[in-house]
Amino acid sequence: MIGVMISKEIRTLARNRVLITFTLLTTALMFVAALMGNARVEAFDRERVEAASADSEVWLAQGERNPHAAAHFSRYAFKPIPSLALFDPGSLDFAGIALWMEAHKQNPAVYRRAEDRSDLQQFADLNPAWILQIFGPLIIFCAMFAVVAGEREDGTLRQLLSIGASSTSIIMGKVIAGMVGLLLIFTPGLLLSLAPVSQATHLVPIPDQAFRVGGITLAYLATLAVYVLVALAVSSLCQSRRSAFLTLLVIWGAAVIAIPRIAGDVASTLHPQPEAREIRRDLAAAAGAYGRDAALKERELAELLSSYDVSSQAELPVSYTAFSLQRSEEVAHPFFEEIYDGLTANHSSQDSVLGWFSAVSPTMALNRLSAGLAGVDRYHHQHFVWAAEQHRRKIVKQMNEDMLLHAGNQGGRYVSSPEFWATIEDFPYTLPKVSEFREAYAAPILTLGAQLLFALGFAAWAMRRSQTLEQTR
Amino acid sequence: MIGLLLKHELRTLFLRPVGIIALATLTIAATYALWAGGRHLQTGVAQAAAYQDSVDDSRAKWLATLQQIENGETTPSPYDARPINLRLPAALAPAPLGDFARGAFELHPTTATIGAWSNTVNLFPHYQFDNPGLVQLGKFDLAFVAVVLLPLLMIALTFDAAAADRDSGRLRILAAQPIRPGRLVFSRLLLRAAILWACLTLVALVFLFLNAGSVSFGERLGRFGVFTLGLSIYLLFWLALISLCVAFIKRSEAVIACLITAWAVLTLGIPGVVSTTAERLYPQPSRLAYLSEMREAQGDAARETAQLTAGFLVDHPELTVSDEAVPDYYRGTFLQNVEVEQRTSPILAAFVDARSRRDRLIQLTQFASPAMIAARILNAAAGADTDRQHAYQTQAREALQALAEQVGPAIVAKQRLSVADAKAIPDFTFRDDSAGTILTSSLLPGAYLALLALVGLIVARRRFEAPLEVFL
Amino acid sequence: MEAMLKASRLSKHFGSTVALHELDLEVARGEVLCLLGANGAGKTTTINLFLGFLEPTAGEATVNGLSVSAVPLETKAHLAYIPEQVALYPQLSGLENLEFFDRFAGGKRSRDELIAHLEKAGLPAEDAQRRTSTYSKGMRQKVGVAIALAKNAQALLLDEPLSGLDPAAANNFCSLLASMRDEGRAVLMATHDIFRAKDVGSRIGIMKAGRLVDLLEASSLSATEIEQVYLAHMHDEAGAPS
Repeated sequence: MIGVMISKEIRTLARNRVLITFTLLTTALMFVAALMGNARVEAFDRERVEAASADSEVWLAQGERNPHAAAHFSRYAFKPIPSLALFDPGSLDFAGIALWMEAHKQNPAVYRRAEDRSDLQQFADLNPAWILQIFGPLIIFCAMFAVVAGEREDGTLRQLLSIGASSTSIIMGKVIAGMVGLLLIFTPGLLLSLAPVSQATHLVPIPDQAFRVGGITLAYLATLAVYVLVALAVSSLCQSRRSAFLTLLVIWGAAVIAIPRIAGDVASTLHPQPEAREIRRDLAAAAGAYGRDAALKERELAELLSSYDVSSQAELPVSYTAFSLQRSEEVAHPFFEEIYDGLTANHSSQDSVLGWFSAVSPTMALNRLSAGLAGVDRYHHQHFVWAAEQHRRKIVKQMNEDMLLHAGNQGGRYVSSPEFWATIEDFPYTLPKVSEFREAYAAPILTLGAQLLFALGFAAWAMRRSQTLEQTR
Repeated sequence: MIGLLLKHELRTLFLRPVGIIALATLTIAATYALWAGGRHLQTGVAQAAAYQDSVDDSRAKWLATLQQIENGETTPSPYDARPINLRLPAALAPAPLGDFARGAFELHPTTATIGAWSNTVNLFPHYQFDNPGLVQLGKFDLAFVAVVLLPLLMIALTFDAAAADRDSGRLRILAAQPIRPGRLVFSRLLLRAAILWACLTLVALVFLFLNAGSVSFGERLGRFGVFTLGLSIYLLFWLALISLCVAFIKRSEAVIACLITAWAVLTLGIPGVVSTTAERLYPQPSRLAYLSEMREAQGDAARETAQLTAGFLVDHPELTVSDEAVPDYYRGTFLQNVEVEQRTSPILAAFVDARSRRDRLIQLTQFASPAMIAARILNAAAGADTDRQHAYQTQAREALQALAEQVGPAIVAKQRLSVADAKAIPDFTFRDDSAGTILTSSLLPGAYLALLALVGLIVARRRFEAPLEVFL
Repeated sequence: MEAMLKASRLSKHFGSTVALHELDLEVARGEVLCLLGANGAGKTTTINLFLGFLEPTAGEATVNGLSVSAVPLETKAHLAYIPEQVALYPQLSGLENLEFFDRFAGGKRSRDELIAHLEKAGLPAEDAQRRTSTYSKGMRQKVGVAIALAKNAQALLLDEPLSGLDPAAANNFCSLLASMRDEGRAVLMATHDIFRAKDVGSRIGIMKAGRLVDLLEASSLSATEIEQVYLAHMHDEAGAPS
């Protein structure tokens, strides 16, 4: 019985020419978008490689120079782009890509590509993930609005019930057919747009790519399954095709178009971004904390003198200037961490507001998961920023130590030889595994799971209710 | 007739749950958008003023010290009142109608301290502290409500203007009366759109006054005029498109499917394709290459300060280098910046060139999507377009270059400016587009959209007047 | 006297399909003409042509001497139309619906007058205040009649108004129709109900495949005889007019 229902539903879908046209168009658009995304990501990565190499050349060509002056000039860390960004660029364009690992300062990553975009991209951003997130639910709703409402309007539902078809077999048949239809409609698009990822060997490899690709596929299919079930439920509850279609369109407009924007806006209203000027002021204060703390400086100088068993700076076998430069770095570190932790806490609060809103918009939960799995969300960005900060601390210390050991009392007049610059390592960075952020993704995964269960229950309840009503009419 | 129709529409739609929900949704959305926009406007204006004040303070102190030195009232240290330390504030506040659209305002720099320590590459202090995921979601402003949500709401409220009567059979009873039922349907469409328009305009008017704060009300009013005009024309276009669909397509599901497809194509599809194509055809030069060039120039200049100084003095034979003990890195940094300017200016020009080519393509292709036209007009009227941001950046860079020319010789010659020369250096004032300029630049696309709307409405009206055999 | 409703060689073709072929028909004031015929015989097409819902392929329909094609709006001032399903706005009461259609047709009757029309049509005042979403089919028919009465239409076009009505409601409706006929209105009614047609009709037209194949005086034949004539025509493949 269920098999008969499934085959009838699939046949109906297959004969829906409008649906087939939309599906083909979307699949083609996703594939083209993936190819364009591939070219874009490739170009960006080429820029990164060239910039890193230029940075290295400039660094090595400094000639003789004071190491602290070199630490001010310092080096840049450039953010690598994971290959999955060609499928979903997430917030890639909205986070900085170059970080100046300057002495005394923990800088934010700069050069956000979005600053070079046109105003149009505020509305639409053609990439496979965006196409699927926006148009996937719409295609599902267009395909399924009449699944039950149409049968009721045409009287075939009564006919079905009158010949003794069990309510369960009708429900199961429609649900399974919906899922099979979902796979038939979206798997080709997903596969085609994820295919270039495996070919993107030019990019920095991401360690758990296969896991991420699998996760993305599952996340999209689960979210779209929620929309399939919602469509079934609404179609069951509505008396006519027209009201089912209208209701589903309203749900689409709300869940896919309006709520994500409202959520973002409400999040920034409830947890406003601190003013950049204040952050800069705090960072500058942190950088100068050691310099302002005369008592600490005095105490440490005394300790240093006593550790070398000398009574004046001039007698020290090491450079006091370098010592205090390094101490000023170390004293600033916890302050920097406090400032950036505060900022991260602010962003986490904003994200938790988004999390609440995603309870009513599966697309938002998917958006977070997809960007996370593609390695282009805030967590991955912060991972890069933190790695760059660790590297900054390491190389600045290296330069201060060179000065500490070799500058004696020359202070700013001391210069290091060109060979020394070669001992300063390039920024080594490995893209993280997604499991490092498992706690961050638990919420959207749970939300999506709960939505799937709720939608399943809702669809079964709505279909059973509609059949009971039909029988007692 | 209008009174009767209005009463009927109120009874059958706008005072019913569906109508109340639709109007409430629009009112709440617009109210929230403008309330949040108001906060943005006031905060932006206050932040710009605070920044201006803080830099002005340091400038005043610098000038006071210079005056004391000139008056011989103090024995200056080598660091005091040096021309390299003269700083001018350049802050960008949201435009007077900045609460109506926020666009990408927060994505771009809004403060700069113009002084010879900086070059055009590092002129804008770090501002990239935002949550990237949140910036990506964009702002829920009135422009978004108007361009994206309003057409959806219009479609939901009007798609069955004829079909509801046709499917129920009421249209035949209406057609049996001595009137043209098509005219009724058309009037109904006009009325429903007018109610939505009035609702949105009313909310906008209230917030025009509520959010005015300290901004120039005259300019705000002018921009509001352009905004409302753009919004009205855009709404008229959707009314025309909906009327055409209602007039030519009988089945309500087909009407709504057609309209939603049109909405998706015009609002999402075409802008997406155009922006992606524009980005691909006219790629921006690499920001990282720009950075690398600056670093290379700085590195080279750091090694060659002596030659650069000599070269500068050859170019300025009138200069006599003072023998004051001015730190060498003042001169070094300035000369590095001059070198950076020379080496990066072609890249900066390439940015401008790529952007203007891309804008030309968008200006041409906007005629394919009324949503693009509307978004451009509304964002420009509210001053939330990237053009304004780029204009600010360009003007700040020009101001920096002008300042560098004025203070540069003194820096290299290790001299101070005279108080008179220092006072003669003009403040930075952002030259914003006036409402008139925005109106002029919006005229062609706006007129095109209005024409499209009028043609659509005329064709639809003719169709509504068609013989009943066709219409019923 | 000029006939209230008149069809002269009235034809309607949909592509190659002939829906109505050279119909000649007159309905005088105070007369009820019932059209019988199978589905697709041309009854509804005839009514639609008088209403101007369809453009004739050839010939002419006139109402009170006015050509429907030439002056469609003027002819409608004389017409009332009651379909099988009288569709009303479900959110409005019967009275509010009547008020809407009346005002819409240019009328300016007071609420009391409108209530009087509804009562005359058989709908009590208390029912008239309820929303029509709660109405039975018979009650909706009564609002349809009230619309005709309020408009003071001189010609009524009824498209299978009796189908789906229970016997008591159908009886009520026929009484109402008879009283309107007696007031001097011309009525053209398409129906499948031979017995009611005999009961209320002055003349009975039998239609087949777009042609009026017979026109009978209702008073000269019994219902059974009319049925026999009707069946004979239905079995006659040629369908030639008698």
